[in-house]
Amino acid sequence: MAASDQSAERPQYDLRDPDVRLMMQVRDDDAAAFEELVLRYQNRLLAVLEHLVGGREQAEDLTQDVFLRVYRSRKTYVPTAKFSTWLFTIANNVALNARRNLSRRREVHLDSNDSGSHPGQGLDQMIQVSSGQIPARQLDKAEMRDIVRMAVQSLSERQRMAVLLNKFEDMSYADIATVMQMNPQAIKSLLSRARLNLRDVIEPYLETGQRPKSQPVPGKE
Amino acid sequence: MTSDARMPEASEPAAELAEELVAYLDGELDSAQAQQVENRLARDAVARRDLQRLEQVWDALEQLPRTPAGEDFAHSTVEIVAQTASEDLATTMAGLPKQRRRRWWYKAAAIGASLVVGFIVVRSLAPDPNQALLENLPVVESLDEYRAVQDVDFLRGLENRKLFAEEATHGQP
Repeated sequence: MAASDQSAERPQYDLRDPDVRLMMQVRDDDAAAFEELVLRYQNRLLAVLEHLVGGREQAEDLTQDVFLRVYRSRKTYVPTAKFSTWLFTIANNVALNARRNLSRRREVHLDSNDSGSHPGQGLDQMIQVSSGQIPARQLDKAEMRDIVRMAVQSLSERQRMAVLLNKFEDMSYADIATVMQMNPQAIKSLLSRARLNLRDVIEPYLETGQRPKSQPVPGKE
Repeated sequence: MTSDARMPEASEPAAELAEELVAYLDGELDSAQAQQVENRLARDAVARRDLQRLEQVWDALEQLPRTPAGEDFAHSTVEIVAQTASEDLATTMAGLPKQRRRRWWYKAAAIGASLVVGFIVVRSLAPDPNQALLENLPVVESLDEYRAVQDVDFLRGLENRKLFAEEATHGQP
């Protein structure tokens, strides 16, 4: 469809979204506009990608990959959505490609009887030793942060992405659906199951300080 | 989200109720659906408790750290992009002469072909100005002698008397 045909029907993102206007300046090879976009979005991308892939260094590499893709596609950029939706669609694709290239997946287990070496296991032992039967209300912030992080890592990759976009970016179901190339009803179901899975992991610590009876199964959607 | 979706009753699977509660917390229900949820919450203590638990867990995600980028991150990102862009440009330029040569050959071939075709077409359509000269060549070759004779009738008279018949026979191919 020609741009002139689209302009009469689509919302005027270039008028309403200041970041779209910036990106159109980048399209015209405005280096300062590109740097401004980097400054505006680097922290947001890092936050989502760090919790998505579970590592800061990889998140930084992926964030720079995202910006590189943005720059390379500047000449063909057409504002058909909010800039953030377009940007995180690229981020989702970059993360998906990175995961495909991984030779080994990390699995987070909360069961201390598990003999495998997992990032969460030592933490679980630490929690058991340090808190034991102490109610979860007395857990300090660092422990709580680690429990929440483990809970998020225990989600499937799709659940994790949907949760992070919903929580960190305050994205609507429709926008998340665009980013993840699903329909809004599927996102509604995905987020519901994700929140239930998070509840199963976090709630025991919040209420009683006890480890959950059933272990979360990564990848279960 | 359409208003056609109804609020699950207590006997229905908890997953459906959870879906509506989560969507309600996220502000994703239309006014009619939201009203249904609120009516359910008003009469169902279990639903109220479920909503509270979901909200509590969701609020706990605020504990997730969001470490800002380092001071040099933006600068290094722009540098990497600029360097990559330069490499992309260098790659494009390195391939450009070959492409240009090919384009020049294509252009030259097209021009040559059009020239040949044009020559043939013009040649076939336009009259040949030399044709008249070819037809009158015998006269042109003896033009000096013909100028010496000022009267054509006089020449015809000489021919009729056959005074130069033997020379005329020898002159014929």
